[in-house]
Amino acid sequence: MKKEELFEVLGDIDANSVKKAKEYKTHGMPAWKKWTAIAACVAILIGAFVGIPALRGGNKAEGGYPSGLKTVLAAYPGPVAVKLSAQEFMESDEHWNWWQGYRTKVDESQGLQTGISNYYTDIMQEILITDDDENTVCSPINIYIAFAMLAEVSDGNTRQQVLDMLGTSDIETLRSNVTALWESNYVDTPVVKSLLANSLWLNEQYSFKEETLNRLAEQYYASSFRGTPGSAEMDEALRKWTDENTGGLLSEYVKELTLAPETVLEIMSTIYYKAQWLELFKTENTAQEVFHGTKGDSTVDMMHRTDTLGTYRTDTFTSVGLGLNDSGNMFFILPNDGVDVNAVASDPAILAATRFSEDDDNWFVPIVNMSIPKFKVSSHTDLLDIIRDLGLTDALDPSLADFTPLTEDRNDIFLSSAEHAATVEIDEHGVTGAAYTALAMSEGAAMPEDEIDFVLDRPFMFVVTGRDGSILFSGIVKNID
Amino acid sequence: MDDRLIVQLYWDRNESAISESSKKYGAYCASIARNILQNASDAEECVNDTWLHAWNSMPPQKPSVLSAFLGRITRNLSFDLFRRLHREKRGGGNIDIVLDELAECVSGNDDTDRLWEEKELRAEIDRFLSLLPEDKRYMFILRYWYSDSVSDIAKRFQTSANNVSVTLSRVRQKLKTQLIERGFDV
Repeated sequence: MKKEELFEVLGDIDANSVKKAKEYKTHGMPAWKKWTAIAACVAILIGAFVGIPALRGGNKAEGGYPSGLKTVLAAYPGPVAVKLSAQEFMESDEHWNWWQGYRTKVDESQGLQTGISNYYTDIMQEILITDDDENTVCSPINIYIAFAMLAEVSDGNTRQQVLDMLGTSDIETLRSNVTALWESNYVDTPVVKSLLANSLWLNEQYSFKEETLNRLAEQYYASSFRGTPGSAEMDEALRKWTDENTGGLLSEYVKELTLAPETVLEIMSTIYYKAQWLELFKTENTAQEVFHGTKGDSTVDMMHRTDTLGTYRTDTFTSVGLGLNDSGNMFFILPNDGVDVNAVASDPAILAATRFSEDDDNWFVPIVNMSIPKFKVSSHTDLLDIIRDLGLTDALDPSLADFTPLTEDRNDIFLSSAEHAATVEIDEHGVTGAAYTALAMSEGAAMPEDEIDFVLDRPFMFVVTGRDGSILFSGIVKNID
Repeated sequence: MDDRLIVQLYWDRNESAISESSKKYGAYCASIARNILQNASDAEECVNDTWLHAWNSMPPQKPSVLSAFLGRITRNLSFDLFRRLHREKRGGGNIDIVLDELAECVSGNDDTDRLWEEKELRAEIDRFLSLLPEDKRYMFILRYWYSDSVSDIAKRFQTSANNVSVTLSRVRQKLKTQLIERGFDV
């Protein structure tokens, strides 16, 4: 091909990118203050009926944990460009180098997402849909990783049921899935924090199989803590570790965490996520407006922005995705008038709305006048009933559960507790309700097809995806305080 | 005036469509033409022709991004004129440098026996661009769509001209590798 021909071919590239290139401004510092801060954790508790005293003593303390605990902290991948500010990083060679490596990882994980679709749909339906007025939020990827670890410590039909729930045929596939998910969703740069962490809380009275523990340490980056469950020391360490790995965002739930004396092992898995909008909301456009919640009206800080955006529309909902710098997207899913938000959450089309597939007729690109409320939602979910619904039953039954890869000291070990807590907040620092600007409506008439108002002033759903399309968080907002 | 209204004027066959386009996008199109053509009057001619072409293509076309739609017409017209003029003399102007940079991505041979469609190549380039970090993507577009000078791009990105050159060179390299990997032996 001749260079002139390439020049001509380039003339036909995507018009939106061409337009955006001229509008693009290097972000000044205020832009970096727009954060989406999110965290979640899962605690899976494996207990036995009664405790038997046995071996093993304490060891030296590490990372500020009590000396009575035998602590082995996992070595996580180091942060990228710690010394640079977000803006410096974006302009540096380090960003380029990081990006090149990261893209390959994302490509790999992207290919797996279709295989995980059923799991996403099931877990979101089970957790998010409730009859009451409470907001619900969960982190599907966090639960996935925690249960992958449960698969590692179980065997036989117990393991098979976990694999089935995660939509995976065998443990090898699950392992490579987890590696790919981890690689593309563990990001620690000045621009994005997407930090995954795992830990094992082991009862020192038992002898555990080293092979299994080593695998969890190496492939799942699991730190391990051995001590006496039920002791104040171990409870404090568990809270400290969980707080540290969720940025303190879940402290209201974390302060209630305890280990029952009959605990054999607790698996604790966390995610902490922080990313910035690709294009910010101007604070002077934020206004106090009414949100029509299920418990009545409330006044909220409504952020406004107008942009040409890929929009997904079906008979039941309209979805708009906002890009997050160096990461995925946050999709806001508004049920059409008269449609219940729960009905939308069980619609399989939700996943299609989070994947930009060209051969899907529901996509169009209008000018979108967005009104999006600032909010923080948190919820705590008992997963036991949910996983039972999803077919994970043997693990819950002491006579059927098979945790032999973990320990053979006892045969009545079972999954005694599984809890999940998550929180999502979208915010602009420095904004107060004093700022006041009416929504800029365009002059009437002409081509209504090409412009839509997207006003999140009634219950809606959201989905936060990683760059690879992994569902990091999702939730239903019914009320905003 | 709102873009949608301007498009509507074209559709209504209302001649003020042209004056409104010129008012809103005259400078935008002129800068694209001037980046390709060194002669101001040649550039102006291409911009004026742009409105006529727009008039002839709307309807049936209904562009969703009017600026890029008009800009693309200007870019095509300017490049056609450049090629006609270029037969006689080689200028060493801005566009020659842009083209020489692009030459790094292609073989320079006639590929009449190629196995891919131009449409597929365009889709592949779009895909490549969409996977770039935003700042690199827009740098690339400013240079190879708008033919903006490196120093203008550097100013826009608040960085050094050297940094822009280095970045662009890496993106070109990456584009070439990727196209070959994907079976486009351009």
